[in-house]
Amino acid sequence: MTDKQYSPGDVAPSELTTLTEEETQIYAWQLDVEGFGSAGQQQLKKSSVLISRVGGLGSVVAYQLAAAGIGRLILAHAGNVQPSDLNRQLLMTHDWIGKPRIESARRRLLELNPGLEIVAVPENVSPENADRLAGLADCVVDAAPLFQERLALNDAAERRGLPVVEAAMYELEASLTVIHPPHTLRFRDLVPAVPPGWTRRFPVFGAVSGSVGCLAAMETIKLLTGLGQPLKNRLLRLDLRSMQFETVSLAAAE
Amino acid sequence: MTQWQVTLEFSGPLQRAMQTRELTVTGTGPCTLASILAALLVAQPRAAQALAVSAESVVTTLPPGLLVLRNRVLLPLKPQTSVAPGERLTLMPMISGG
Repeated sequence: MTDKQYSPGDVAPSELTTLTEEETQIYAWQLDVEGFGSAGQQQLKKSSVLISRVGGLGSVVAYQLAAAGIGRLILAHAGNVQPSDLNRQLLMTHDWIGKPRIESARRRLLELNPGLEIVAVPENVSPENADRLAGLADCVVDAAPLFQERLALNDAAERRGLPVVEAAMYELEASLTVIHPPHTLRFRDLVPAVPPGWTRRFPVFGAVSGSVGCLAAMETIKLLTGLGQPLKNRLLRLDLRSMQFETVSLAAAE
Repeated sequence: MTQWQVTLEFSGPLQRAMQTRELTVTGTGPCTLASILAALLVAQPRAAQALAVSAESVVTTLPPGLLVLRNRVLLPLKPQTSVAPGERLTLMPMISGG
């Protein structure tokens, strides 16, 4: 078993970054991607990503990163699996209702990639644990349903100079951007305080959170490996009701 | 006083709360984000609840997490930001669904 329970101060990254023969076989088709190759794959293998909540959105990010060969995932998600999780939280299963979500997520991810190192944290991100968790990662994915968690995570990531893939959705709409001050706006430039109107429960199809989850996973891979142009100072708006996707410039507000 | 009008497009939970995709508002005097939002609150009182603001509060502080876009570019999020009469803006509240 390569997974382990969370313990504060546990920061040792994966040491072995050369690709094994089996890994070369598993990732053969993505090794062909121009600008990625073995160097990109090895970079993924030695990288650690913190995902704040593995719900509808974060579960798909985690699954795609596990499939792509990320070395280590730090997953933060409290609570037990509820029946109402199952329309979108693809790492949760019916037989796990009433049991810890984080264990369901770990179990499912290791089924896909037994070589993945997982730090399973049965807590949601908060001002109390955000610095500790961000300190374990090279990159952060924000997929939390509450702005309080997003603000705490971004504050901690900014203090550590980490890029944050900011992904969110509501009903059939979604948004995606990369926050990495001073190269981009700060999250607090966009959301200086918790918007009073937002509620914990939001309308959602799993296909919507999954769509933006896949895109967020790709942004994470790009940030870690230098592939392509991440959404820095740009925000992708997706409207799946009309299938209109557009990229908005955030640079003017700097 | 010069009269102005600006068309506002709503997205996400704001569109749902407003029960319409867009609305044209009118006002007089300086055409700024503050005066546009104040005109919106007059034209459609349900906006006050959706944005958790009042006509008085928007003069000094924009609603937290409300992005204002013009031609797919974010405007400076300040009450005094000027807007040309006749423009079309998108009011996009930041969302947090995961």
